[in-house]
Formats: sequence, C-alpha cells, structure tokens
Amino acid sequence: MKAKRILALCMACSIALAASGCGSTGTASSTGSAAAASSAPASSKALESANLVWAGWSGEEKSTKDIINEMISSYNAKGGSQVTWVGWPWANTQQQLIIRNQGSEALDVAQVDIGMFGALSEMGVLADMNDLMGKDYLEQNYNEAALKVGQVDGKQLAMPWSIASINMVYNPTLLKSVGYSEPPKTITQFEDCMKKLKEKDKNIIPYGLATKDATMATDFQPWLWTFGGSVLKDGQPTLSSDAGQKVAEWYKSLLDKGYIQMNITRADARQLFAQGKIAFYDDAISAKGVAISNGISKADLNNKIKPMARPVLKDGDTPQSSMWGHLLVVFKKSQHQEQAADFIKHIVSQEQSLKYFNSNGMLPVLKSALASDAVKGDPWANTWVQLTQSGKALEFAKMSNSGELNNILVEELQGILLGEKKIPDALKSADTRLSGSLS
Amino acid sequence: MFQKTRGYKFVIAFSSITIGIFVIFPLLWMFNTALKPSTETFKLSLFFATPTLKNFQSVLFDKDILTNLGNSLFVSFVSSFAGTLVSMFAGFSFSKFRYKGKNISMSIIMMAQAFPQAILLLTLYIMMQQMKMDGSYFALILSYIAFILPVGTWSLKAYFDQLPDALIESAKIDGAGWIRITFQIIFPLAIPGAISTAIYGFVWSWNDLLYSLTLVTDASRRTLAPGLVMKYMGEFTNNWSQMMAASIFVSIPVTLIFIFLQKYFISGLTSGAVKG
Repeated sequence: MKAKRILALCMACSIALAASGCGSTGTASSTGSAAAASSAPASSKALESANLVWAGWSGEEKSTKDIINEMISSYNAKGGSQVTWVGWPWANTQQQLIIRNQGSEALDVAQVDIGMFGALSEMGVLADMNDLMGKDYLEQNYNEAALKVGQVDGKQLAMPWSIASINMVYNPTLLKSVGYSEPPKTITQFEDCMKKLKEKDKNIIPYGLATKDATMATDFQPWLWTFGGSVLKDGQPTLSSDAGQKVAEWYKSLLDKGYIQMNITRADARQLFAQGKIAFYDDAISAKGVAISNGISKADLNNKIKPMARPVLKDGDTPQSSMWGHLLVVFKKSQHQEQAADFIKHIVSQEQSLKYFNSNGMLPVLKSALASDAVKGDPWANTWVQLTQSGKALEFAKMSNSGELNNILVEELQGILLGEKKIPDALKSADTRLSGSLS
Repeated sequence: MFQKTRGYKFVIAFSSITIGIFVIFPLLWMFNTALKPSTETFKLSLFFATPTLKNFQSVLFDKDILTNLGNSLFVSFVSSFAGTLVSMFAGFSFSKFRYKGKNISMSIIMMAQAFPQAILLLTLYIMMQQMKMDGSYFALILSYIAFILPVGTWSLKAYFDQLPDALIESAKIDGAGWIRITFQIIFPLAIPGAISTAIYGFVWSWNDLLYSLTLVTDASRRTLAPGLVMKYMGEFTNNWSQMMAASIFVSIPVTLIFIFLQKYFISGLTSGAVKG
C-alpha cells in the first residue's frame, strides 16, 4: 500500500512539475488578446464599446496582412470598439471556425469564403445581417447579386466583402502567335485555338483545367451549364443527362488530344501560366496579383494575362461562370453583434474597400465603390464586373457536406478521364452516390 | 538461418532499391526544389541549371521561423520528457504491481489511442477553454502528453516485463525501499525504453499541426508546423521552394536527435518482442 501511495505521489509530482514548467508562459488566447485591448477609450457613439475578435486568414498572408492590419487599426483609432485578429491558414479556417463554435470562444466576426459559408450557415451559428444592419440599408447600398451570395432562406447570413465570379484568363501573346488577336468566343473556336497552340509547341498545355482536388468539381460546373446541363434539378442529381454525357465526352476528348493534363491544381495552373506553359486557365479576379507574384513583370502584364468570357456552345449563349468571393459573418454567440456589424460596415465602406481593391484587386461590393473612378478606370476590374453579371452560385455551395459532394464528382470525373470507367457508368454512379449523400 | 543464394541476394537488393527509391526520392526532390528559384518549381528539372541558396537564406534569417523553431523545441522537449516520465511510472505500475482494476485501466489507456485525433481535439479544446488554459503552451503540452501516454505506457510496460522480479526481491532483501528500487534500480535499466518513448513523443509533438493550430492562436507562441503552413501556403499562392528549404532546415534537430539515439530507439521498440 505504501509503495502504491509513493508511486501515485511521484506521478502527481511529475504532472505538477510539467505544469509549473510551462504555466508561466501565460494563457493569452485570442480572447485574451481581445481583453488586452480593453484599455481603449469608450466610444462616443450610441453603441457601447466592446472588444471584438475578427477571425480569418487574410490577416496571416503576406500579400494582405498589411491592409488587414490597416483596416483594424483605422477602426480602433476611432476610439470605440476595439478589434483584435485571430488567424489560421486558409485551408484550415473552416475547420477552426466549426471547432470554435462548439466551444465557448467569443468570436464575433469571421472572414469566410463561399465554400465555407454553406457549412457554417447550416450549423445555425450565424446571425442575420438583416436584423443587425436593416434590410433597406443593405438593399440600398449593396449590389443585389453580391447580397444573394450570403442569403439563405430569406436571411442575410453573410455580408459580401468581395464578390466576383471565377472566369477564364488567357495569355494574349501565346494566342497571337497562333493567329488569335481576340480570345475564342465559342467552343469550336476554343478547340481550334488549343489545336493550333499544341501544334505550335508540344510542351504547352493549352488549357490548365483543374483535374485534381475540389477545384475540379467547381470548375466542371460552369462547363456543364455551358452545355445546358446542371448537377441538380429539383434537388436530384442529373449528371447522366444528355448535357452531362456531352460535357464528359468533351473533357475526355480534350485530354486525349493533349489540350488538358491530369494532376493539375489551380496553384499548378497559375505557376505554369506565369511561365508561359499554359494558355488558358480558370481563376478569380486576384489572378493578376498572383501572376505578378509568380514572376510576370507589371510592365508585361497586358501581354501575358487578360480575362475572358468562358466560350459558349453557340453564338448568343450567355457565358457561364461560378460565383466566388469572400464574405463576412457575425456569430450568434457573439455578445456584441451590433458592434460586430458596425465593424463590418467599416470594412466594406468605400474608403476601406477601395484601399483593399488597390492593394490586391479584390472588387468592392458597395454600389458607390463599384461606381468609383478607381474601379471603372481599371480595365481588368471592369471586365470582371461585366463577367460577374451572369455568375451563378455553385450547386453545392450552400450545402454543409459540399466537400463530400465535390469529392464524389471529382472521383467519377477522374475515373472517366483516366479511362477507368465508361462515361455513362461513371455519370450514373455519380448520380447514385450524390443522391445518397444528399438524402 | 537463410542461405545466401543468388535469388536471396537478388530479393534483398531489389527490395532495398525499391524501398530506397520510395524513401529517398521525395527527400531528394525536396532538396532539388529548395535549391531552385520559385519560378522553376514546376519544371521537371534538376537544380544544377539554376542553383540558388536564396530560399535557405530567407529561411535562416526569418525571425518568425526562428521563433516557431524555439517554440517547437520547447514544447516538444517538455511534452516528450513529461510524457515519458508519466509513462514510466504507469508502465512500471502495470508491470510489477497487482491491484484491482489494473486490466481495465490498461485497456482504457489503450483505447485512448484508438480515437481519431480530431474527435479528441474537440473534447480537449473545450476542456482547455473551461480551465482557461487555451492559448498557452501548457494546453499544447498536456494534449501531447495525452497522445504519448498510451504508446509510451504500453511499450514501457513491455520493457519492465523483461526485468526479472527477482531483482526487486533482492533489493528488498538488501533493505532498499520502494523509492530507491524505483529510481536507482528499475528506472536506470529502462533507459533505452524511455528514450524510445521520448523520441516517439518528441516527433509526435514536433509534427503536430491540428492541435497547435487550435490550441494556440498567438503568433508568438506558434509552433513550426502551423508557422510554416501560414507562411508559405496561402489562398492564392504556395511558395514551394521556400517551404522545402524551411522543411529541410527545421528537420535538422529531429534528425540529429534520432541519429544520436537511434540504437536506443530500436532496442526500445523491439523490447518484449522475443521473450527469453
């Protein structure tokens, strides 16, 4: 008995020693940091000042860190509520927001992208911006298409921060070298252009279509829409429709002819595009900034990258694109929802959103900012605004299991491209699997 | 044992080369990418054409990475030491003492290893929050100890099982108390097993991303894995060249530790494998 007591004591001591060894390092967490900001003077506005925590990823990334800090410091300088930042890598943000909503951490505002929004909205953790900002205020000041991206069942669960669709970009120099002074407008022209590019240089991948990761599924949808199809109709998968069959056959033919390549991600396409090894690929409005960071000089930008409408099946069709962007949400758990909404108004204000636009090319959503000379005078942004007009939400975007649904689509499409499955079998299999996951 | 026929030699050589390619090729490609400019990352070329040390230079002089490195070293050493110490007591107790509930306790400890990390994270995160420990090194260290304990306890129990009970009986006859027996006779004999557990714990803590991201949000306390991901893997761009250079640089401490202690690690792992 004595021996057991002594051993138990030793075990307790070892734990206590470990605890004391590192306990002195403090316990400041995100909420702790927020508490540190409480020394700010009280607001002179009607809203009582509070300590807010803003979570996301842009404040961690080199290209946007400074502008995010500037947004926070300019708000804090007003003397009202004080904001602190908590960040994670982009790829882990959704997971972290979900984990933190299970606990008691006081997150107030978060940056999410369209893909993350679905899962969070279905969890029921987001506050309705209509209640916080007023429906009339939102409708009067913000672009309707942008507001729609954050709406679920009539509730405005997210505030658009920067919304623009995913479109195609092309390399004007490469296209000129095969006789195309303008980008192709129809699929026939597109294929002809890719054929000429491939004949000119075997090492070129004419189209850097995503053939890997969830991006393969999200980039597939606008092409499916182009061929007149959709993934879902009345909530049921319809990939094995005629349109689905045609687009799958077209994908396979592009691979067989060497116009696209397997194992290409968006990041790969960006790098290879900057090296002049890819002539077309799909990307967000930020593609220009990415091209610069991947080595294209600012002086050479106009010769190396330009946005274009996705080619259509026949003249007169509407070019298709999927909506993309960053949104801002307020959590129901936040004890300072009104202050959080006030901070969001600051972020999307004309002054801040134009600074953000100038810093990284992300389009504003405020009507007055969109109408400003800074945006209208920028040909790149202007083209993107036009292309976004016909942008549609991705079909799985607002579903909590969008990741799982995208994976099914990717697996079946890869099966087709790799010749492991016959097209009708793969599409039927996709419909069955999607149906199972949707129910 | 085996006759070294030509077939035997061929199988050994073929297996060694195949395994070698799978193990060494990714490492060589890491070096190759780290020694090329970022614009060459996606080219299937060797670094000889455009060699550069810029990626290594930028890593070596990056204050954030050095801070992350210091944090990782601290957290990994403390959690590995504390985890091993607790595992030694637990392993010794399970091996040499008889008491009620021993088998159930052993099974419960083993079960902890069967849960997916992500599931345990939710519980641990909420627990740390309620104990006001989230954001501290301590939260991270306690979590790592929780993961070191099952494997550590069981492997050290196997180690202690090999030590004859007669050793303890003789010490008792010579008048030694339990504290002396534990610290001066039994624990010193278990050092190879303890080192093996410590290395396992160190590597586990060193490589963790999920727990570190969740439990520590303050940049000044961030460990290496989340630090590197945040620095080089962005929403729009991934800097693979610098990521590879940084990964090579930060793997040096773990590699050195393993090189110096590998004989203990292997003997610790194989302890109890052959009774005799």
